[in-house]
Amino acid sequence: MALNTTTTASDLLLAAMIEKEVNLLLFDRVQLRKVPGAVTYHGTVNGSGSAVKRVRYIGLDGYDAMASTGETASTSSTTITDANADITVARLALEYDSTDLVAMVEPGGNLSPERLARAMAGAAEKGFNVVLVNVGDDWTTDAVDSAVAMTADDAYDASFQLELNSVDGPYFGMLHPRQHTHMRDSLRGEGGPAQYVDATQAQVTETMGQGYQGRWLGIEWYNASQVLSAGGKRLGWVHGAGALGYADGNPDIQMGGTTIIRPAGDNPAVYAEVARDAAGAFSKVVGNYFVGAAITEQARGYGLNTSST
Amino acid sequence: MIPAISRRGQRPSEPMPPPRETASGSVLSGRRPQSQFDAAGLPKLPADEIHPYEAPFVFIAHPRKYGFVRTKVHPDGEWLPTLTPFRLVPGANKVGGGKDRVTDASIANTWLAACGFVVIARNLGPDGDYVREFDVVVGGRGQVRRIYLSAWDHLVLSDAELAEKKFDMVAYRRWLRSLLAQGIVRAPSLAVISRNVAAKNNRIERLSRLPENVPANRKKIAEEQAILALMKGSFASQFGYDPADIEAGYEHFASQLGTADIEDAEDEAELPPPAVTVPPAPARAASPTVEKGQVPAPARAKPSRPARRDPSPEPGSTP
Repeated sequence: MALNTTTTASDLLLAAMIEKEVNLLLFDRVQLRKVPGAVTYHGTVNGSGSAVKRVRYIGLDGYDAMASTGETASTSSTTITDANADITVARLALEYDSTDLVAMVEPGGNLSPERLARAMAGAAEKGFNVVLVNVGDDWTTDAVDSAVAMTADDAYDASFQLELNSVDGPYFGMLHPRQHTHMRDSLRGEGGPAQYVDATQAQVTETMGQGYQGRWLGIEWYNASQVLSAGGKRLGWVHGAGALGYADGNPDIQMGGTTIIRPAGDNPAVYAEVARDAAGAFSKVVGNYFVGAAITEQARGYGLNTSST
Repeated sequence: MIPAISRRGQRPSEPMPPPRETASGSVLSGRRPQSQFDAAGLPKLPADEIHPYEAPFVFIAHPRKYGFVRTKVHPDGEWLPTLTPFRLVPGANKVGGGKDRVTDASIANTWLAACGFVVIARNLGPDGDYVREFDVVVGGRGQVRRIYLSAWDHLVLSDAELAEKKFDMVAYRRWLRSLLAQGIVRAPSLAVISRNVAAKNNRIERLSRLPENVPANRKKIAEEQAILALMKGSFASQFGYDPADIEAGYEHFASQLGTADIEDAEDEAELPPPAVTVPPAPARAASPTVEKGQVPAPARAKPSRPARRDPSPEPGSTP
């Protein structure tokens, strides 16, 4: 008796039935730009005459104290202290090309120009992370510099450094996940009144953003796997509000042969353009983001370098 | 000063092999196709290890950035500078995009100098450059990218799907020592070391407030004290400072200023708390034994809690 099997009926069946839903590959989805209060926005460079944004500082409102002066003594003029910090805006970009045929046959619309344009929002945030971690390793003072695993004592040293220098809060700790695991491990042996407050799901999704781990010693701790390494150490850091700043640019593009899509409602500086190549029968999706970040005040942040393994 | 660096080119390009001289004449054999680069043999690195805008870098040193390191070779420890890679990522810390894909670091240079950073020239590295470039595959199945690592970073290929980044700490520290010996990186000042020592002192003081009866606490304090002693000792032996100066106590400061000779100054030094003999705690009174058949004495009534001034209404009761 001939038995009909999946082998004999192979022309009637598919080798695999693909699912309509497409899942994202695993990657660290922290968006450091969106951490509330961590990086100050200093506006756009549009129409400013330069790609460099100069942030100005002035020492007023108590920077200089009044001195006791005799009833009839004349006062002398005090020079006002000032400073500045520059933020250079440069271009981040990403391009996806998708042929008409692949966009046509892909069942979920995941390779359509519209979907690829929407992906530029996340790509821009990841690009911003890269810029920021390259900024955050350039403090002139390290609160901790050690080739061994991070301990709770290191976190104490970092928080004391911020307090001793009268750095305004809120405080942020940006660590590589490896550093954070070392710290949590060290916390198992800690006693005393300082309590590590774990992030709740609501905080991560609604207020503090992806990457938020919890609060300890008055510092909001964040993980970012892009935190750089050098010399066998991960170059994390702690900083207070106002230590880091960023600026962007928002080009005014005339509508013409390309279609412009603004993919991110909360970041109007990111935009994607879809250009057609009729001869090649494909669409070119290019995302652009003009942004720059910098340390705006060195005294407000400190390096936290500990073992990378 | 950071040199201008071009970011042009993201694909490996091998030079054409030279012609071979044969009896038939010069024969060119060509090279393997550059447009069909075989990614199969390249190391694969996790996507998070590869920045999409990976750029060359320079090491920068700062007179305040020094760390204390103990190794088997130097069991007594040594002070070594902490170098930071300054990556030429346009948009980060005043690095501009520049024209023709050449990074513009002019404003960054000014800022680094103003902050007190010293740029370590790349040609001071081993074999004339401390930057190395690698062609890698992003993640398990991504595209080929060129990344820049230090001369001491190595990629270890094993059975695992992804390569592992390993750092040659021994050779790196040897290089740091040579930078110190050549004077390219300045020896740390007394103030820098004193601050590190003070931080360690503070840590020990903090730890000493922990309960003494926990062996782990006592061990931690002993370890930190041993490291502190080594920190002071190696600074003295490495850079020729007087160990007494490292304490930077006001008595030594006074003697340096000449406002008091050392004996006077030491007279003013604060003494540790006087030794106090703690009397042993009185032995707990034994609980009265109760003979069989006897009724035990009533226990002392606990002091009653003061009545709440404004008791909240019972749940469900109406005001």
